[in-house]
Amino acid sequence: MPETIIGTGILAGLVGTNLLLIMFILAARVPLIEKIVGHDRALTLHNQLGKPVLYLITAHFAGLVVGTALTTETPVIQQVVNYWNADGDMLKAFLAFAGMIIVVVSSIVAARRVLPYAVWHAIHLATYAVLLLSIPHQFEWGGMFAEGTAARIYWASLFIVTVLSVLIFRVIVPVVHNLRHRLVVARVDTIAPGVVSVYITGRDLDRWIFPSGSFGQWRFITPRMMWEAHPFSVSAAPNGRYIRLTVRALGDNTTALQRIRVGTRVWAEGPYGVFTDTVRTSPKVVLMAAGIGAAPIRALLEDLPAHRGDVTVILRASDAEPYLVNEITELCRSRGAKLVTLSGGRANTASWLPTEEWANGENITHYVHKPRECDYYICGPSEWMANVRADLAAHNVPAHAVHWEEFAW
Amino acid sequence: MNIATPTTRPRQIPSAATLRTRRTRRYTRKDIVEALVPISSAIAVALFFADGGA
Repeated sequence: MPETIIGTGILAGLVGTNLLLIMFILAARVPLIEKIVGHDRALTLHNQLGKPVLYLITAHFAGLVVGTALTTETPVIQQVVNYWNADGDMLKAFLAFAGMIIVVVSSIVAARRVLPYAVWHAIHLATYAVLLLSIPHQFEWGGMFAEGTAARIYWASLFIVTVLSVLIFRVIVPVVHNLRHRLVVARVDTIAPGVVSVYITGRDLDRWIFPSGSFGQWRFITPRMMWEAHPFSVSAAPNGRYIRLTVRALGDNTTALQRIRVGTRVWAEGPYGVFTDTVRTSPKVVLMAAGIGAAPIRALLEDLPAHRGDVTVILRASDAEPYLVNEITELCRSRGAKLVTLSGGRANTASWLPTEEWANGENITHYVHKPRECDYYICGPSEWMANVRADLAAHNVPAHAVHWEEFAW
Repeated sequence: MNIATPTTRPRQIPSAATLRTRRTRRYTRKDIVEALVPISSAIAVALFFADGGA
């Protein structure tokens, strides 16, 4: 019986460690993974693994303590103390376990809503320390790296891939890119109240391409803003001269960004995301945006390969005219695209349409001819995008033709 | 900085064959990535028992 408990505990620890390493790889922004599943899906998978890893490592801890206590006929509390005093490596494992609890709890949705991004990010960086602290006790106590076993090859490979992924794609690549291109704010235009377009220039921008629809993590180097990187989509197609972001003031940092000075240094990571032409599956395309979601839609419209008449743009705004509507109107004219603007308050929480259009019984078929033959790029608030997707599904638009992306952190 | 005139030109339209291929290929690759979790976990468990368990 004690052997079974100990064995189960070891097994839980192995699976938990395995999942922890996969979590690191998913969050390492490995280009291949970003390209295949998208940044948001990779981070969603990463987030979904957090609790299972904590439960498995807890089971590992409990299994070994209880199993060993039964074997040695020692009280459980005394056994915890014995492990604590065992040697330096086991103490590190205890600290790693405590750190993991803090990281997972801070990542629970309710906690994330309360914690500022910078605090959450700082706690999350501790995960690397958790991993490093947990490794030594494997050598002393575990069989993961036992000589002459297949397990040794597997675990060593997984650890090496994980460390290299993080080192290369979270550290080396961003540092090299930023030192080489030296991004700087070149111009700031007010688009609408609380909305600015920031033009960023740098050296050799034709060698750092942010495709239309992609996004980056942008850190503006001012005393106030340098502590947080924010995900913003590019709002102009790559042109080798500047990168354009269009940002609405929704929080402290994005509000400060409205007053960013020309000449401010910018630290960027990216491009990320699969909201680009590379996932398109049909010649005909519908670009749909609500609110500041117009930014990536503008970029896509600018250089999306399409025949005249094959692109429809639907812009949605709750009160005033849609953001970037003048530029998008001009682009639609030059590209031969159809433009639909829909303004007014939402009919209800299940609708993506304004009250009047909803009351008239309108849906996607009123704006798009043969909706099943088109690809859809949707960008806007999460709930609005979910309502659009529901409407498309109701009209039998295949899932592979519907593209959207959530900003995730 | 002169930003008035975009220099971007629309790229070449993907061929029908390319578009058709994307409909299935993307999901196959996606499935592989998403299978990383169960497959790697199964390997970890199998190696544990292969080396004699506890």
